[in-house]
Amino acid sequence: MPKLTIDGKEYEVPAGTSVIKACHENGIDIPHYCYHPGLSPEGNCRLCLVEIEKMPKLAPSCTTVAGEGMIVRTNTDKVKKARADVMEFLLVDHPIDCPICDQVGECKLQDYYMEHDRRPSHVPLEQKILKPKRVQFSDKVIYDAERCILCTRCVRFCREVPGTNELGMFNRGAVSLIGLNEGRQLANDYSMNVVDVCPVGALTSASFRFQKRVYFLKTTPSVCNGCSRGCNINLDWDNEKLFRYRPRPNLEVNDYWMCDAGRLSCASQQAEGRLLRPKARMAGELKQQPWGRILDRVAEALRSAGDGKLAVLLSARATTEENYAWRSLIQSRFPKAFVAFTPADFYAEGKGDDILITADKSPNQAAGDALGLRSGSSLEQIVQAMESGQIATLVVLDDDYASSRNPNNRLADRFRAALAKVAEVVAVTPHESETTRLASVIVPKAAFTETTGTFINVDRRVQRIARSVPPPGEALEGLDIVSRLAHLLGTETASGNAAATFARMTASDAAFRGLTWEGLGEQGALLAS
Amino acid sequence: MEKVITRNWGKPGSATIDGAIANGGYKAAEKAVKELDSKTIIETVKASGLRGRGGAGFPTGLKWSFVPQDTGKPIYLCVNADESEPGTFKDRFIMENDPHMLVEGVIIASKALNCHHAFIYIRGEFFQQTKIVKQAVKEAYAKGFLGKGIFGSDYELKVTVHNGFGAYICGEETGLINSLEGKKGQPRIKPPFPAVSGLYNCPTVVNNVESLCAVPWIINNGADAYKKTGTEKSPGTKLFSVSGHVNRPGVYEIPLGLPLTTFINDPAWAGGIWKGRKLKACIPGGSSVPVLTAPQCEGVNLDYESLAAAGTMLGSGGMIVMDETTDMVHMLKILAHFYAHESCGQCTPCRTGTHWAYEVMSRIDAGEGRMEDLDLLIRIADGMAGQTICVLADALAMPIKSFVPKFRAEFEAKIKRKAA
Repeated sequence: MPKLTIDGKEYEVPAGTSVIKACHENGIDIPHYCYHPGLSPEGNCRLCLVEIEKMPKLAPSCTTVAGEGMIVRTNTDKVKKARADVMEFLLVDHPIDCPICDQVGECKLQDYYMEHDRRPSHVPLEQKILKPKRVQFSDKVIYDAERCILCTRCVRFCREVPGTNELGMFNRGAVSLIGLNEGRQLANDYSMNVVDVCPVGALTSASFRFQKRVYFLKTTPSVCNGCSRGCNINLDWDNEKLFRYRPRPNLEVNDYWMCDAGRLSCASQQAEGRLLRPKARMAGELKQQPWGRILDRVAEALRSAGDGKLAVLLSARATTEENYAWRSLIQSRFPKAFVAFTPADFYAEGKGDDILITADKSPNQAAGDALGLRSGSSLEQIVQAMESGQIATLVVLDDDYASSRNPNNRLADRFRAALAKVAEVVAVTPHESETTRLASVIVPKAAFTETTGTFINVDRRVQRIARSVPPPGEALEGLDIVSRLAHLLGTETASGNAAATFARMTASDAAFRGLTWEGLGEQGALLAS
Repeated sequence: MEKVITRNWGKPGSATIDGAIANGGYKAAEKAVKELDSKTIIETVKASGLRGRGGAGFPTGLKWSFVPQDTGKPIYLCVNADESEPGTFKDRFIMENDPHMLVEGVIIASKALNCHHAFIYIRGEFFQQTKIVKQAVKEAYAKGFLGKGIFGSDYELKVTVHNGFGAYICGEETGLINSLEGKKGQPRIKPPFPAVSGLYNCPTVVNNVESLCAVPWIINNGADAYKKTGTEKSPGTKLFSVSGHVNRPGVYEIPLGLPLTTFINDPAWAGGIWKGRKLKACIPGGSSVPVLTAPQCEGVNLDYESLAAAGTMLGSGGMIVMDETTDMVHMLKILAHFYAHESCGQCTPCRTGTHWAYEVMSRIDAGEGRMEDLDLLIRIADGMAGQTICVLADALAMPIKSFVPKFRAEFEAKIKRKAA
């Protein structure tokens, strides 16, 4: 562990740490463009230069490894001048088209200009080098060569993370630009991360650009629900509308990245097909009902079915807390009811890859094991019971068992047919589906982006999600729904508060022992083994 | 002075292997392969004081001694024949006149480095020279001087001749290595230095053509004999390629330490300024080194130390002589254009600075400059110098920072002409 001195203070860092990392980890800001903690250093932007004793020239802190006894200075006049010079060089041919640039508000050129340069431009606009604008790298990513500072983060991302090498730097000198290698498309499953790593407005997202000025956006940390990896994300939203997902660094889960499919699922989360109001079937027709009437009807259906005629299908798409609250309610009031959890392979698609994408496309499959929900009934047993007319009331969370579009839903036809033999089918879910169309009671639920709770990922890491925008229409958070039902059924087994529910869970379930809601923080924590 | 590099030039058949053997070629290589061990060769070259002739002047033997021999990886030798610096054309003459001297130098250096595969990287525009070197390598293979069991020993050496594609920056040693690997010719961050991690991440030495050509003579005659020529710190001979306004432009082998004015004026060398005009300025070591005014040329000797003391560099020995009619503003503009065109584009200060400087020089040269442009030029040069991965930015910063103050009146005159 080498000890080095930075600006007069001594720090000890692990061997092999770069000087810039040593600075950043100790709260010393070093401006940088080409350096990215998730990519190999290249040392080309020259903004992170620092003074190191015994070195004849300023050294790039990103490619210099911290050495024993090294004396680093990050704020001398020489360093400040070098930073100002680099900023001036970077802006010489910059088009200054900020008014029409999507990066405004999260642009490192703007930030560092204000911090380190603040001099007027010496080059009139008409003398600047013109380069291609609006180059379509793919249907997802658009490139503006005039704004590009050629830091090559995007090139290195494609080379080092997906390993697909679509991008390269072309030409020489001042007319250099980033481009697609011959015959290639930017077509890897992680391509949109190049938009995140781009520190300026050169690479923008086709789906997000011109949608919103980023400085209006509020950010809520959450976890992607696209697969069981549970990539940490930020939800960017404003005025009850969700605008985009961005990966949030978590070195234990997703490093700095997320896949394109996950990122683009943002749009579908709020898209059409959302269930906005509670409805119930009256004389064969689905009619809108106030919440009170709907919950009464569901409570009555549960109560009247009683132990033996009640079946509840819990879900790998719902939060751990919602599943737990249902389990607690059933255990306390209807201990002999049929309870099943999403079959382990229900959301399996292909193989996944060895980067982030997993085969299981549900976010919370691990909750089924952690809460012991697989030891009850199986889906098949419940379908059999339905077929034999034994089930009077069925509650289905999220999963669309009636649809035959999912090849893993082998019981689809039997399930659909058997629904006719169930008196009351209660569907609790955010989205319309085959199942909701056949249900007798529709309970509109908040989507995960509108919900606070936890998902447990493929590595058994418990991670918090949090409500960003409010649910549309009259939809309620899943945990809220089940706690209101519990209240109507005369038990207080559930709380509408995710943190409180989590606390109960840690007390009652061995798998969660030792965890606390606060302790999960933004990086999550592993289940007890 | 005894000629080292150019001793066979002009002799009949000197470019063929039989001619080379008749001229005493390959004796040193045979001796090195059969009789000398690696350490002896390196020590001899170290003792000779031979310094890299490509421009940096780093001691050749010392460079060889940095190569670790215990990594288990192959060791490579790359010959830098990517001679592209404006005003420099000495390696080209060597390859044309005595390619076997280069091949012999490669054999000895490879033996010293324990290298079994050497690459000769030749500038893309050198079609003819590539042909000559390829022929020489072919002949050496045919004679058993290259390949398996060289000179009947168990030592094996492969030599590959490879062409660049016309980028100045591929003459920078790590740019050359990247280019050889099939990558874009962009210099690498150092450290790691090529000696530790170079071609294919293996220990690598990159040597200039002229440096290697001095090695056979040193092996034949010994380090002491080599040191008899030149100065104490700059021993031996050096090729100077002189161009510009002199009576006898061309390539000359001189003893290091020769007075600059002697070299320019002596009928044995450059033969004086043409048309009876007066000297105005001289760039002694390739276009990237600081320019000397005529008075500054007085009393300066052509060796590493004297030129450094005069505020310039020996560089590659590509001397450009300018007479009193030379338009120094236009001259600097041409240089700026060259470096702007050749910047690889990797580092911000060089990519933008060289181009910006060229733009400013262009408007001054076109009579559209502003007086504050002169300070701006210096500011651009200051922002570039020493701030980049390789020294290409410095290669323009140094001319700017010498041309502008030394010939400021000329720059001002061009700017004022517009006002008038």
